[in-house]
Amino acid sequence: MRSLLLALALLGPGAPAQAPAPASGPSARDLSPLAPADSLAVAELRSPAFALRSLQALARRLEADDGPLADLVPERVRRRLELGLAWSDRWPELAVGRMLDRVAHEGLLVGLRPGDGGPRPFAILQLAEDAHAEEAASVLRSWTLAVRVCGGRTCVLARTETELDGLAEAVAAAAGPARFAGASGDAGGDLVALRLWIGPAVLARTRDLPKLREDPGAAWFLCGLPEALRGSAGVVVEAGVDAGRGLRLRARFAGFAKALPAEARSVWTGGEALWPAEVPGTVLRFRVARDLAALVEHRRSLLDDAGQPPLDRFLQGLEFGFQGARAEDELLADLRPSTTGLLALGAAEDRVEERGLSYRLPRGLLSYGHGGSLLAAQLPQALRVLVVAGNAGRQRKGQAPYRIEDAGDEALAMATARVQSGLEPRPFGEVLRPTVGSTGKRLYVASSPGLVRAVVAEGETVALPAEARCTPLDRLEVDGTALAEGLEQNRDLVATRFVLDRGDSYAEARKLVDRLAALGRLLPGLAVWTGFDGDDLVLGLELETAPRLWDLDVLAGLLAEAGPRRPASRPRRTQGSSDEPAPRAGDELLRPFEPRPDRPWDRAAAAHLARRAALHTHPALLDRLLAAGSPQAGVAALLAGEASRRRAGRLQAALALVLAGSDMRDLQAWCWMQLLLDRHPLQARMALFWHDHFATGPTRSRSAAPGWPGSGRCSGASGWARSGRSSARSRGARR
Amino acid sequence: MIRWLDNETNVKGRANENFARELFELFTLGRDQGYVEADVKEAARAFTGWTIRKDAFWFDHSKHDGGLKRVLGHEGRLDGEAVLDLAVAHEACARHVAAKLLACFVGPAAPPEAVAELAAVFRAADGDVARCLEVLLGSELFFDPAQRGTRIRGPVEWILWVLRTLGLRASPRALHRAAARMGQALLEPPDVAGWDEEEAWISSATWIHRQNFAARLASAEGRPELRPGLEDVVPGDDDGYAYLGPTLFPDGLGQGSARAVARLGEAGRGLPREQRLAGLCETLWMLPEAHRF
Repeated sequence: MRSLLLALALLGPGAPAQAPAPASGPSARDLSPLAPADSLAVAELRSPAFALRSLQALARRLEADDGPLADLVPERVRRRLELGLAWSDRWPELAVGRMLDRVAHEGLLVGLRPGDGGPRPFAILQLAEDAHAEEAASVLRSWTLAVRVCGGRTCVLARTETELDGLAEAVAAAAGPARFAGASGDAGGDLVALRLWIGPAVLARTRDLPKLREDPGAAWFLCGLPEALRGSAGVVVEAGVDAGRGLRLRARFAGFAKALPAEARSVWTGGEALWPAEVPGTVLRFRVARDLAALVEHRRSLLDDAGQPPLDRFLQGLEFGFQGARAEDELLADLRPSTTGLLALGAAEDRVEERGLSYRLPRGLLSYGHGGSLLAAQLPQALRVLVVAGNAGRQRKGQAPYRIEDAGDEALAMATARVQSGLEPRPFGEVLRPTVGSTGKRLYVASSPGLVRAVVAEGETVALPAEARCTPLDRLEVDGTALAEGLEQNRDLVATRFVLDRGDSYAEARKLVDRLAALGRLLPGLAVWTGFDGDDLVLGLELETAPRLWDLDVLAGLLAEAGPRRPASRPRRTQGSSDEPAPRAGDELLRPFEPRPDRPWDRAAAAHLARRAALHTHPALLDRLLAAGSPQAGVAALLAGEASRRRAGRLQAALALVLAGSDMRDLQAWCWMQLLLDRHPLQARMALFWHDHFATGPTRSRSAAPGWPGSGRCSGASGWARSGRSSARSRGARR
Repeated sequence: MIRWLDNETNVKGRANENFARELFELFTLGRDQGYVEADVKEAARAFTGWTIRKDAFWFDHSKHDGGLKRVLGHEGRLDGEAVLDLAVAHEACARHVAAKLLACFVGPAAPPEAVAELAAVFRAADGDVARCLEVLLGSELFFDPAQRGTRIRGPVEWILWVLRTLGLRASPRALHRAAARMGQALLEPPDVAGWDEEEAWISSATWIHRQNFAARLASAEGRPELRPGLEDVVPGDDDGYAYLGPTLFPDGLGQGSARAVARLGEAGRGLPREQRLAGLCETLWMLPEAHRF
């Protein structure tokens, strides 16, 4: 996920303009996250462009500074920062889109961990952000806009009571008091922090927490925890602090086998300990099993149900969902992380039958899910629908996906009716997570927090807004003007809707949706949604407010990135078609390579051949290729391989042992031995190639042997690795 | 494959089309290339009775549909072997295999014209893939400088590069676990279409596992099965860059990477060689140049 920590000076509402004057040089006090607050606020924006510039600014600062700052930044953090910059130099599209957040977070979390004496990321980035403090301040000068920043699942920390009040009031004004009950007026101490998750996940409120005062870095760390764990451990953790009950962590589990680290349980259950200093690393796992049940039990004992706002109960319900398992082992055995499931319940439901298991759910639980993709939509009056997308891959293999039509139809029908009747209020222009999911033949689409866009059965058309137009993204137009140009010319676009066609596979569409979703988080008022129209997948891009305060170049770049290009990921993409260009005589691309002064047969050329065809560049291999005398002779040497009967014999013997057993892991380890030790690296290359082409796995095998290389009718170790030479007509081995 | 694609349940009168569909779509012809739905249905009948017995292939005559079928324009009492012959002989098969070879060896930016050329080689060589490789790997297209560094190493490719380039050893099981975390468990593809490749290999989640692997491999961190013996394979008594740089990156490094390496060298002054070597290797393995090839 893209994220960025952006620390900046911010003026509180009505406060006199008072910029935090940077000292002549950073001091230890500057590096404390709780240096006396001159009405400072911290915003966390999800903008890779900001992140990149932040890192660059920080790196420059570190480079120029031999003083206390350089001493305080751990070497490991510096190394991560520099790696991040190296990536962004060399490979910007990946660095910015996929890498940078991790680089940043790794560095930040390391720097942040209480007890290691390192600097706080808060302060590090505060220093780093001098470069564009003005830009950031312009964003946050308006509270309203700041709230919108929050709406993109963004953290805002207020550092004084006054700020908290101001922010809470602004939020309440925009969202309604019920949605944020307790956020306002509870700031009792001199240290306050407010973490707002707008939409279904109102997280926690932090105020006057003694622990926080002692080590405020911990609060920030907890705030960073969700990002640190996201995607890596199959769990989304939402963390916060609560004055009355101590620290709170909430976890939503995407997979049952992965959860919080054991060390974190003390945070969860005890409510006393902060994150222990000795926790090694940021991505940790343990089996859920009964630990989770204990956590949930403890959690329940802490919560006063009557005192919880509805949205709190919603999250609570997610936790209680795990309680419903009649037999824990049975549940774990049945619910693999890769399985998919869904329940969509009305508020009155308290038992659910699913795959022969009966789940007891507390009254008021609105939904729970496991595995797959969690798709949520929320409606007012406590009607919420939670959908876990059917896993297309699983369905394809003939495994029964979960069906939810019976459980969810009523809720979805109500949601749909509200949408179609136009009654659905939209408290925010922002989108939280545009989502799409399907179960069986039914597709669900949800976009903004208060909206189920459409429920589409197979063969139906998606319920699109009447004013929708179908336009490919790269030709998106606003009143006859291309989108990028339109944004440039008219910075006050309001309530403009776009729809784009994209006939493509579900998986590819999801990738595109994810990219667009990231874009949506960047831009207040930009909603992205999806649906099917007949066989075509439809993606909606909806601009409701003007991105006038945003860098339009960044927007244009992101749009270009998110646009319907064909990512060069699947080899199939380059496959020929009947109308492909015919080769031209005399200009064959595959004519033999003839070295010449501007393209010599040198070590670099040999290294290219070795990288692609042998997957490594050991000096001895390069020497051998060069000694062959010509590119073609080098290729011939690769094709011939190096004979080593002794080694082949050992591998063969090892394979016999493996196949005599029944452990697939032994066979997998043997594959690695073959890849590492084989003297014929082109064979290894082709083995991987064919493994991806004739992709199959042991899921339904009873042992390592059936249908696998070397077993039965196959010809053993060398036969498997030799598949590169055996051509596509290798099916004879089946007989 | 018979189990994976449910051909055990493909019997006369109740044909299961999974295997036939993937045969055409993924293994031979390519999606929507030269076949129609009716071909899939008829081909499925030809594969009835192909099953597994006692952990080996078994042709069950009693469950085979021996009737007339029409597949890819050919009619007769076709059996599975005949359908395979028809699919492989189809002109789309040559194009499909050629396109995949080009994507693998030349990269995602391979020009479409090359597909037809390589398909012609494939047909002329009667499907001999080695001959295709001989032509492809020795061609002007393959050595075109514009095609260098255009691919992204998958987990297995990256780990093999790390280990084999320096001649390091590691426990196969540990490598399997590491690659699985990075998204590629051998013998466990996500589905019959194989792995998503190129950019799909790199995400914030998989990247951190690459980082962890590099760190563990470099430092060995009390894991003897991953102990690489870096000091043994890197000659000299300096910090190792004089050997490691040209060995790992014969084409040199980009500006940002060079800067990171240079600063690391400065920061490591005074440390024991083992530590400097470990730090350097970890950084080198995680440079952007290490993940493209």
